[in-house]
Amino acid sequence: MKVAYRVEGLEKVAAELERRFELTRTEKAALMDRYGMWMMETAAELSPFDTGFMASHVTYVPLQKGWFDFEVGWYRKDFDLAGHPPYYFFQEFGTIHHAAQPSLGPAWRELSPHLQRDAAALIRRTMVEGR
Amino acid sequence: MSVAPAIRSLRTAAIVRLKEAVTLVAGRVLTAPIDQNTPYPYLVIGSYSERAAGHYGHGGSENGFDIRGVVRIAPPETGDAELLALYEEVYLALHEHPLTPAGHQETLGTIRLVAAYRDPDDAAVLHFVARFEALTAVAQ
Repeated sequence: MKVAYRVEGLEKVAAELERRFELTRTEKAALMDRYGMWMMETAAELSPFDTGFMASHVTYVPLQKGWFDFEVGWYRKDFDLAGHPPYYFFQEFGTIHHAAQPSLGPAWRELSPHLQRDAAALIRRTMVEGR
Repeated sequence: MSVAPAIRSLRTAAIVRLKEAVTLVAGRVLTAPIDQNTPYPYLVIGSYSERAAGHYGHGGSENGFDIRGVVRIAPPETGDAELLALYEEVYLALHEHPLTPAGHQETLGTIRLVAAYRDPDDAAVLHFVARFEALTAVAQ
């Protein structure tokens, strides 16, 4: 006995999945932008303030390589050009002479629960509900 | 659902555990400010965080703090073996080790290594930073 199956209409399913995928891709980029900027502003607010150099040079970089990623922090070259050692690292973690005055870690711990919630809601709305 | 702050009692329980289990620091588990004459190696506890969180219907919170390990390499040693040995002791002392903060249920926290680096003011001094995180629930 031979049993054959024929499935039709998959093109519509594939097209709908592609539409939802593109919708998710577009909206997650906006979400990452929003949170990247928010993280940058929060880290700047929490930065130790002496000359203000750290607060004014915290940088947001939209990576857009993976699904949900961005970078916030300081560039070594900015400190080199201004003649400063890369003290941002030691402010974050501390040295034998100075206690840590972290800003990136607290900023991330403040924002990450909101980001997780919003990212989950975005995927549910775009991929699952398709709107 | 009541929420009681846990970070202070969690920190106390962790410090007691570190003092008894991390033999390399001989009880030197400190909080800032650090006396500049403190002998090496030592641990510094800081960068606390706490956020209220639901925990199986009971009041509780997500807690965390940094543990910075500091060693000074004595010649002819040059590598980071002593630093990593200290980190291993900290990990074994706290990672998924049951702690019971006062007024709270027993909890199992986790340890992750965040950074390791040479001190900018003394090249013979090495640091590691580990993050301890635990979810606490108020005792019933």
